[in-house]
Amino acid sequence: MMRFLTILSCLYCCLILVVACKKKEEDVTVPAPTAINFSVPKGWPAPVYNFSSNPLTEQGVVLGRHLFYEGKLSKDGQFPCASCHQQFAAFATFDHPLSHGFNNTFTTRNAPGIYNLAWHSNFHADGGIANLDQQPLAPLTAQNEMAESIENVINKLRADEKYRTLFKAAFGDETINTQRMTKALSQFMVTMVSANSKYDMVKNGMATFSLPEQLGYNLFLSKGCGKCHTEPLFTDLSYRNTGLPIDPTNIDIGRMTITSNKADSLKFKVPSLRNLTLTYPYMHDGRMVSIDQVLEHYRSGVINGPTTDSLVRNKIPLSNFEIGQIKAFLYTLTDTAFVKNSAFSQPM
Amino acid sequence: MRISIVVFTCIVSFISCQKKTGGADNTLPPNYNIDLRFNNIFANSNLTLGNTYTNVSSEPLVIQNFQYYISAIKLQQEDGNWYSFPESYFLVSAKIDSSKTIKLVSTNSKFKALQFTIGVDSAKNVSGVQTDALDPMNGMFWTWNSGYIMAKLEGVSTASTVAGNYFTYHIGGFRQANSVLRTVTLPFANNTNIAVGKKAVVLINADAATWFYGASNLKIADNAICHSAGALAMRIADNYKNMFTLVSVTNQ
Repeated sequence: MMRFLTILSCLYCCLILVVACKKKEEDVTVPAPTAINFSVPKGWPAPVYNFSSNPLTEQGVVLGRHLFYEGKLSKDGQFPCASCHQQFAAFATFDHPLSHGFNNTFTTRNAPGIYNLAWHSNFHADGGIANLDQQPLAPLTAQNEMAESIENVINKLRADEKYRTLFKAAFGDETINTQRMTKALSQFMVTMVSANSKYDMVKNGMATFSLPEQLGYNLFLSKGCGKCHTEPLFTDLSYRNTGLPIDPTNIDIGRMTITSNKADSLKFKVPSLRNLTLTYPYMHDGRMVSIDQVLEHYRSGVINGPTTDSLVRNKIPLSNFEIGQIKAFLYTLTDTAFVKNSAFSQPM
Repeated sequence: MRISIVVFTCIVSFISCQKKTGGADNTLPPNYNIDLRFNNIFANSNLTLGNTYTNVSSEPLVIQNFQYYISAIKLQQEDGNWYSFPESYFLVSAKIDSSKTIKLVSTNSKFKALQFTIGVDSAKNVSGVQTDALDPMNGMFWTWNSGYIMAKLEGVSTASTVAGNYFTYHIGGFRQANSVLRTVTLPFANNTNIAVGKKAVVLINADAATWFYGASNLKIADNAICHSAGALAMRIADNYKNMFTLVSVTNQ
């Protein structure tokens, strides 16, 4: 009996020591995530995204990429971020004026392309989102988009061994929460830099504009297009009313929704013109299907209301020849390498 | 022999657990525990979700949900200086009993007033996604117009003219022009002296009836819904900033 107790006691001691040490061993075996340096394209301003609060790592970006293409972020599994942000459309919605959401619904706005987000401090056409990390929560919970609750998404990810592994690799342990999910999505999205168009190559001395492209670029600047679509992002990130007629079937007061300020009525964030051959239809509600239609609006269609922008109030005089040249220039803003970059495509 | 083996086993068990709990360091000043206990009421009655109450405009209402953020907690010391509890963010939810007690630890023992903010400061509204009490998962965060719902009162009332007779007051807004952040200061009747080894329990009533009067009367018949920052939200915040009253401070 005595002997039995001794053995039992020894075994217990060993077990206790093993259990007590085990947690430490586990922590040690997780390799630290591999840091990535965010490179700023030549001649660009410093990004505004707060990298110190969310340092970029290879594992964080991988996790974010998986989440971006993950159907579990939506109620029925069919609406990952990528369903409305398609790579071949520079991460806008190809061909659709309004995006398609859960249960046969439409959004009320045209999905913007996702690129160069590290230079944006507010998100959405009305600027209602104050931080990139917070942005995914909006489509995720909107009934006409992904229609899911944050709690359900987190629970689905926690139940998935693949994500427990990916979160551990990115953040050091298996904790899955809203903050980590959105940080990983941000890490992936800020790496989506589009700065490799013909325009960029010309700026870097690696290519030259053709004559129509050069004439178009000159017109782009002399006609004042660049005052709002400011280089190098081709947006000054401001909110402006470009004098579009109100669509009675889809009334949207834009920035005023957020600020409740009448001076902001009908103002929308100036979209980047980069990749615009891929991001049609155009305008905040996707009402215009071609670049010609947009240029015609600025030439003849602007409606002057109390908040119509002073830069377009007198319309923009453009000849047909000039429109052709401006278009030739705008086509140089397409970044084919970006839309074909396998680092941004659906993970296998 | 048998006893020594058992004792040895116990010692091993104890030692292997000790690191986890951590030993007290005698060189540190003593810590004093202060519990803030929130007791939800409606006028003179205890607030029970599902019960019917009557507001100051004689409108009957059933409260189904009542939540508020308490942050930036400070205690005033005898010398008049404020002792701050940094990063103190708590969500008091009527449905969750444990959320009604906020546990604080201080190295000071004498205080004469309590101060806190109803809501979440602007920095936390715009600096990414937070965790714990501030996790957007708690349903106190607007995803389309970034920002926290600082306080929430929901229910049904026959006075409501909206579908389902609901009233839902989600009070938010952190930007200066429409900020609903309100600071509450509750002076203690006597200086509180926390004895070593004991804790001070600060009992505070939170009166949901105040949402409907004070700076201006709020009638459910006129405004059954507030789901955005702006004038109405600020009006309601100006009412509910008076909802907290100090009941007692006791050493336990």
